[in-house]
Amino acid sequence: MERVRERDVAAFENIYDAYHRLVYGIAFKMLKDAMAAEDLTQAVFLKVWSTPDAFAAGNFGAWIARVTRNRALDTLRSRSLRVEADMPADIPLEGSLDDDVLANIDAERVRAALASLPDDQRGPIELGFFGGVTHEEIARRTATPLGTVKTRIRAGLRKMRAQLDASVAR
Amino acid sequence: MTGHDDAFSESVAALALGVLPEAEAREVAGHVRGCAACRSEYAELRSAADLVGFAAEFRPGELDEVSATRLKSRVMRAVRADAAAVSPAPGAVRAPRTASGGWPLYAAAAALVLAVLAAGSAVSLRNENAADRERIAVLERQSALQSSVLAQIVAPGAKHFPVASGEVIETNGRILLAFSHLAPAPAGKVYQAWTLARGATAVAPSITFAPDAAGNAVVELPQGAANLAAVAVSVEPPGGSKTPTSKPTFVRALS
Repeated sequence: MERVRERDVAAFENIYDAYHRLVYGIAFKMLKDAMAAEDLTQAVFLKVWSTPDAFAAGNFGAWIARVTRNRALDTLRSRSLRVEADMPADIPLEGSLDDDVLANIDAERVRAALASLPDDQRGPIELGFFGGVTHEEIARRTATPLGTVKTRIRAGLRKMRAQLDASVAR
Repeated sequence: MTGHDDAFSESVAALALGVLPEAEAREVAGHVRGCAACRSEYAELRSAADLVGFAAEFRPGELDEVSATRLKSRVMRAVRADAAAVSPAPGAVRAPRTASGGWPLYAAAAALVLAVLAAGSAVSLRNENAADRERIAVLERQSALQSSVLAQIVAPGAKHFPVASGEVIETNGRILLAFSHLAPAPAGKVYQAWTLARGATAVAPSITFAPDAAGNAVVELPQGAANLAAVAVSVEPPGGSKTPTSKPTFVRALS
């Protein structure tokens, strides 16, 4: 990213080649529309080019995934004919959130970690991330008490984290 | 620093995944900031939550090659044009760069700005294929108007409201609609904008428009932004309608 900050087109192209399948994949899964996913992918990469300082440091893959999800949520909201309350904002906390341990994780290991979760934990996590809905909506859609949804999300993320840590250590 | 409260434990994971309603998210984040135990768990789970998206990554070869090539071409053309535009032509507008996060432009507008820069400086795109040259010709004809409009889009204080294939922009008391890859209106039809004044119960007719061959359209509503509560667009007969005759393609509140 340092070279992108210096307006190095070749460096940008390398980043595009490395991450376009991730960005497009998230966009397509959330928007379920190929053209909209292309538009969003273009938007995300033009953000990388036009505002490279938006990425400070840490896990670039996690950062661009987060940017893609947030932008897809904006698009999903704009499709609704009724005015909806804002989805929860990204609440910054002190210090870096990025985790060097998982800096070089790849999609296959994430898929494996998710696949290792019981359905009742994986389902709410995927619905929350890709569907952009609140835990209350997850509870409603799955006919599950709200407290149980929160418990399952916590258990699922903790287990997923443990699986990822273990896969990195191997 | 506050003490750990078990009542927040379950919510920390929901915060990390980004599924708490805003008010609850702020409450939980407030606790997390002051609780070392919850902050540690949040950081650990947030790292995992951010990676959930990796599961959606297309594997090499899964992405349609034609689409992938087209998409990369779109992105790289815009970036190369921007990189080449070291000295923008008079009247051209350079996309601002901010020091931190946020979206100074929505992507289509950014692409349009970059395309106009390319047309103005006429450096790299002139050497590309016939389709590009045709697009440049269209852009050059439109560039005088677009330079003015785009200056408004990127003006400090402009508010951007995303809609399908574009966004509504409130800037300097004006309302602009900007689209990229907007599908053509059905044969014999045009798009028509509608405005809803604050307190009104019915929309008022506004401008009709059609996207260009590339699906780009940037139009300014004659009504202005004062006292407007919402903007909508629907498909109507040429010349427009007095009241909508089809379901809106979007309705966007300006708040």
